[in-house]
Amino acid sequence: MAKTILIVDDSMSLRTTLGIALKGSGYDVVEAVDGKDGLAKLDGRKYNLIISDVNMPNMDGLSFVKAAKAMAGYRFTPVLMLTTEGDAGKMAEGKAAGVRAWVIKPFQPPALLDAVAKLVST
Amino acid sequence: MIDMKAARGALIEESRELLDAMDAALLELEQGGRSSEHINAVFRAAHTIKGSAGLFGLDLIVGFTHVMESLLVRVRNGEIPLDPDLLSLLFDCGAYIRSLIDSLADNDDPTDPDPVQRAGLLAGLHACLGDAPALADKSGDAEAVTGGVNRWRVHLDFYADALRDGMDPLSFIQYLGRLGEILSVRTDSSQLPALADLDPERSYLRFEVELESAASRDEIAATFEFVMDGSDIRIEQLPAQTEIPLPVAGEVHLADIDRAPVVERRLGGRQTLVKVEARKLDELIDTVGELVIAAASGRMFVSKKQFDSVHEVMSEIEKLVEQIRNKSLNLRMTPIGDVFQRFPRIVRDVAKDLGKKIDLQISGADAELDKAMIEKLADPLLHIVRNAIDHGIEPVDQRLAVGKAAEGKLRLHAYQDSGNIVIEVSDDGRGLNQTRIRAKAVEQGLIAPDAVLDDQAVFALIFHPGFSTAEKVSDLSGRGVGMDVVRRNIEQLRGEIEIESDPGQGSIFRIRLPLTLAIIDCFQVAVGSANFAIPLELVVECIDLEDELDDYSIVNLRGEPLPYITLSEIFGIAPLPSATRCMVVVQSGRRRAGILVDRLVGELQAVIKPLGYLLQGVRGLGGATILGDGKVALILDVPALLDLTSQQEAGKVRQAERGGENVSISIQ
Repeated sequence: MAKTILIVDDSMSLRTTLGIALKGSGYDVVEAVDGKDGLAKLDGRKYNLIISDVNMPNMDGLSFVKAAKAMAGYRFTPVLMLTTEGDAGKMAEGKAAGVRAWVIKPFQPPALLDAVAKLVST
Repeated sequence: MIDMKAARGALIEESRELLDAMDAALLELEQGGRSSEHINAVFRAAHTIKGSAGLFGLDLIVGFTHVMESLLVRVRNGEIPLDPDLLSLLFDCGAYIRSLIDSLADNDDPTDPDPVQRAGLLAGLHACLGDAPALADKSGDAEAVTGGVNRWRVHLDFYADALRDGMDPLSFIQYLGRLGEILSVRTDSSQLPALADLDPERSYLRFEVELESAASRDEIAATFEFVMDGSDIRIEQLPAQTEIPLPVAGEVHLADIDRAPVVERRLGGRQTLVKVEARKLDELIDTVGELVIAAASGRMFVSKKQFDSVHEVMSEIEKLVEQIRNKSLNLRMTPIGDVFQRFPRIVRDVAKDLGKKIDLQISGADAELDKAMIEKLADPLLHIVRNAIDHGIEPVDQRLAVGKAAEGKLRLHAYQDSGNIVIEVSDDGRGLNQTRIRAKAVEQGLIAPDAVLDDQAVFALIFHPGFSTAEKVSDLSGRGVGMDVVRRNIEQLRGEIEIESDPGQGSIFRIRLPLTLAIIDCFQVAVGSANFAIPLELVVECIDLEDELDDYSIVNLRGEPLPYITLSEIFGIAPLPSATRCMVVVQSGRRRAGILVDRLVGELQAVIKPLGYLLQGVRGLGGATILGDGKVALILDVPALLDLTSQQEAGKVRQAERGGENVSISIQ
């Protein structure tokens, strides 16, 4: 069964491009436009990975991840955060919330696919 | 299937929206002082554009937005004050990014539209940041890593919370397999406690992986970048072995897949994206679902030969098809505000350049219009607005002298009027100068010096190619490519433009557009063996003609003279020799005329197909459609036909005058 990845990012082009890259690598993809929408998508579906931006309207990525990690069904879901360099404070905050994987923007799809491959077993 | 090309389209569209939002936020900041929400919006625009552009490797955009972002972070943290100079700089940065995005829209490989401006802006940004400009964007880490295949042993002892964080040891080991060949994996369970003491969420297992790979130590270590912290991971190189494995064959990289079909895709032309509210799609899909059910029950009734029920189902299906038609057309509808929201910025810039003060009012921004039209509408609107500021609204001293407020009023207003969207651009400036327009038209030989023209006819002169009354050609308007292009663009959208103007009081440019371009309700008529469709919203009435027609192409309609055109003459079709002929009275804006045809057929829903290459230049035809019986009907371009009547009429009048007859005509 294909592995499912939730992408939470307010940039449509980023979601589209990541979606294409991930689907091209055989993953199923669910998209959410911000943290709030991301939480709405945590509706019992199983995700093998959550990819989330940090800076988003309505609900930022860290609040979203903290809320997700507090949900029984998503406690152990690995999270990959997309962030900009120099967010050292955010990274420490993320680590406390159980976020270990960070990819620095800007990146190109192969780099992200690489990171995903490290986090999702086949 | 969306391809990368489409994703690029999304990047362009999204960046433009973000830039609009950024401009809006900057305007707010300029007017209302510092507000974290607006600073955040500006930051997010730069941040998101940078992130998205990075996906496509657009270093020109990434390099620039990166510097902007660094600055904005510090503005957001209150480390750098947001003064008017910085605001101005940010406005210019936005404009520069927009030009980058525009060049991206035109080229696959964007070039820097203005390296001098870029350097200037970057210098400005760096000056605010208080550091020296970087000499070059990063040159890439093209450090060639070569070397033979080595054997490695990797010891893995993950940090205790790895499982809790969702870090799956298996996936990291699998990833190692991408770097080379995994020769063995040994699991060390010696750390597992007794079952009673076991914390099931904790990581106890250790692994030892033997790997044969051409990768460097650093590359292997990078596999574990996410879990390095707190874990014990050691990589040791084993003595080399003589046998060298064959390179992995048949491996296909994503990049190759993307590259391969590109040529084919390019032939398909540029894709554009439309954003659709999810609710609209859901509704459409619901209705399609109902249609599927209705069709199934229709099939069932047919097989049972219950034809009464089939009838019922058919009317249900027709109703659903109609609904689906409306709903799917609705998908293309976008609020006109998407165009309007660019104007505060433009008006601000133009007004500033010209030293005028403008109060811009926008209303009706939620009126919806076909996406394709909205895009084509932006340029004409821009032109009209610039003209209004440049020519319409007077300089401050002149305004004060005639007792007007110093601040000129400019209004963008959209509203729906039956089957049309009307967009008005009005100003309270000096109005169109009829005397000057006339003089210029006479000078250019467009009209005779003694021609009698009503207001509309005089105003219509400004749409003539090459017509410009601007005494001095400014940077903004008066370049002579102007209103004729505006009119042509609007007519391409099957729309019309009209002008109202009071000297000293201001002008209104009114653009009237159909709601959509895809499907229209038409009235079908026939001439000889040819079928024509007339957009229904333009049809006023149909009359049977009994009287003989005279030679002047004017018919007496209840005491009013009505010019008419004969389709069979215009398109060179042999008319049927039938005795009765019919006239369809059409009206577009203020102009009204009759169209003489052989036969009235009835109403028709026309799905508009573009005309082929050969017919594209034919005046009077707007498109084609396919009738229920598979025949083609040509859709008449009524405004263009009305132009023909005016010309034809002018010719006839001259003829009549030469003949000594005294005919006077006025067109409603």
